[in-house]
Amino acid sequence: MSATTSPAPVQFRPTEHRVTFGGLLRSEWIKFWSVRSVVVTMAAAFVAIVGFGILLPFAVGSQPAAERGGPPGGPSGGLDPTALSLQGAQLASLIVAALGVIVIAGEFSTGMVRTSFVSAPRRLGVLAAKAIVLAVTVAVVLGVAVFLAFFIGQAVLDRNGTGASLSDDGVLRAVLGNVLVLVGIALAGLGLGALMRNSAGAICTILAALFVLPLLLLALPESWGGPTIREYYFANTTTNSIAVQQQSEYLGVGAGFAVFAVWVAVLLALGAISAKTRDV
Amino acid sequence: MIEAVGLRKVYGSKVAVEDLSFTVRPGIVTGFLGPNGSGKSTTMRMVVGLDRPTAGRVLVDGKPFAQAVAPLSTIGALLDAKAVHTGRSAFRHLQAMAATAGIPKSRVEEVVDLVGLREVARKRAGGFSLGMGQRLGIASALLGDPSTVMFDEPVNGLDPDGILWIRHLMKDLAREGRAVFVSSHLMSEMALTAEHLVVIGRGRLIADESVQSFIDRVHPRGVTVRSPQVQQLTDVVRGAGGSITPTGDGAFEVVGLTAEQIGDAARDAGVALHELTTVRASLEEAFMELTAGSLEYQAQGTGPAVAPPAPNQLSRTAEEVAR
Repeated sequence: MSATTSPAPVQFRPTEHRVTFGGLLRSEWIKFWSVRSVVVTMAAAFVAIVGFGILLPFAVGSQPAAERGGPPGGPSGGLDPTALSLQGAQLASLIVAALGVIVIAGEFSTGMVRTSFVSAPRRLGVLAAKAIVLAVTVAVVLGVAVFLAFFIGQAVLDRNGTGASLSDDGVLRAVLGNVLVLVGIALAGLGLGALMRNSAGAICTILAALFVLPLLLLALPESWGGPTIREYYFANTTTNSIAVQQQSEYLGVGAGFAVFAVWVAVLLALGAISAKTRDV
Repeated sequence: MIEAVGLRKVYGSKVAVEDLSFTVRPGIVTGFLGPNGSGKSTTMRMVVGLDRPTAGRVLVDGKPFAQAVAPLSTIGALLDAKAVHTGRSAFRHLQAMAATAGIPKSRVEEVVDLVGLREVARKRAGGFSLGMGQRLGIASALLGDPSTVMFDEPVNGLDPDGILWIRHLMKDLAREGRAVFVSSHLMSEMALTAEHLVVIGRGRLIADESVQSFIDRVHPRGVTVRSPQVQQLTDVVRGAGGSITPTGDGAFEVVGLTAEQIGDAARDAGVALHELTTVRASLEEAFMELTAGSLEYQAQGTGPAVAPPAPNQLSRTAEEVAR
């Protein structure tokens, strides 16, 4: 039966283990690399970028220049050799969108988020640390992949003398642009995942936002402001930032990045407000 | 130490907790008792700030938990629902938690050994049994060496050894001067571990008192008597003003007399007694009596004195094994 002694006179003195932002960063780093699905997703993005960087230049490079639709002797038959070697980054952007979603929505679906928020009850520090770990990891790992894809792809194209060089006008900017867009899309996924708390729903939403909605927007007539909406829409803002050849109907590099950053920031802010204020 | 004042939580149109005030003091085990769905888990989530109270407030060591500078050392919580990523190993889970507050790896090893998870610590938590999951939850709760420990239904899924282990653990934690707050829908479990009780039904406070005074609220029901001299015993009891009825297994239940009165009268009449036991209301019965009408999922037409729901009986069996 229960003891009937009065409250013990012992005064418990805990060791104060204070939560720090550095600690939260370390924690998120451990979390990121200790879930298999996250590591596999990162690897898939890496393979997609490097794989396409090799395959597409081979496929295009093996065709005679006349079949590529460009004037014979022109730079890669009218194609942008930089963009050609970085086609994989487009596919990878879908993968990192999903990655951004699962690192946060996975916590909500498994209940891990309760542990995270009891360990750091102010909550926003957890989200900020998660965003930094995600951004840095995507930038470094997929940055390596993007440069690898560029160099291998250009080496393949150079067999026909159609490869580009980093020192060519706008090439380095386009290569770095691809890396930045990957980081931004991963963060957008994180914001949406924090907002929706459901992996499947958030992944479908962001994939639709990246690939389906831009197609639907093409049907918008000019009288409805179609061209402007297309220019400023999330997935279209970086069209010129990731390529050397510029398309006049889309925003320029600087303006495009700025508008893209606003989209990402808004999604992150919505996710942060949701994480901070809603019950878990 | 936990102080709740006027806590209220509403989900949509459903009131889960209503005007709940109580204090969990250091140095003792405080039981948090109520039927399933009475608001225990909701209250515990509000204590650690996972759910925001609709009204009222709850302080942990004098501050809202959200303002704690060392949250893992302030309160260690095992909540009812799983709070672990199924794809991560137990060890990495604890390491990630420890990292937030710079808790050394040696402490992670320590709690892994303390809860007996050494052999499976490197395996994915998703494959854990309910009992292993509970042990991991307890390891998480103890990681920061907290001054308050809060366990939601900790014996759920534990085997008899585990149940015995956690009972001792909670008493030891209290003896070290920590506040221990443990919820259960098992009155018998509380009788074995808690000194103080906070009882709720339908989200409202029903009792906030010591276990003993809670039991004392329900009066003794009668005295069980066994004797080889059935006729003489019946005469003695009736002569002394009591009523006697056979219980069917050779014993008799006497109402209207105390055990002392029966014993004295039997001695005077030269009747041999083989058993003389006061039938006390169990904590279970006291609870059923007090929470009658506040049972969330009471079956239609079920009276207050009807047997407790099936889970109770199961766990009592488990407990008997544990003893």
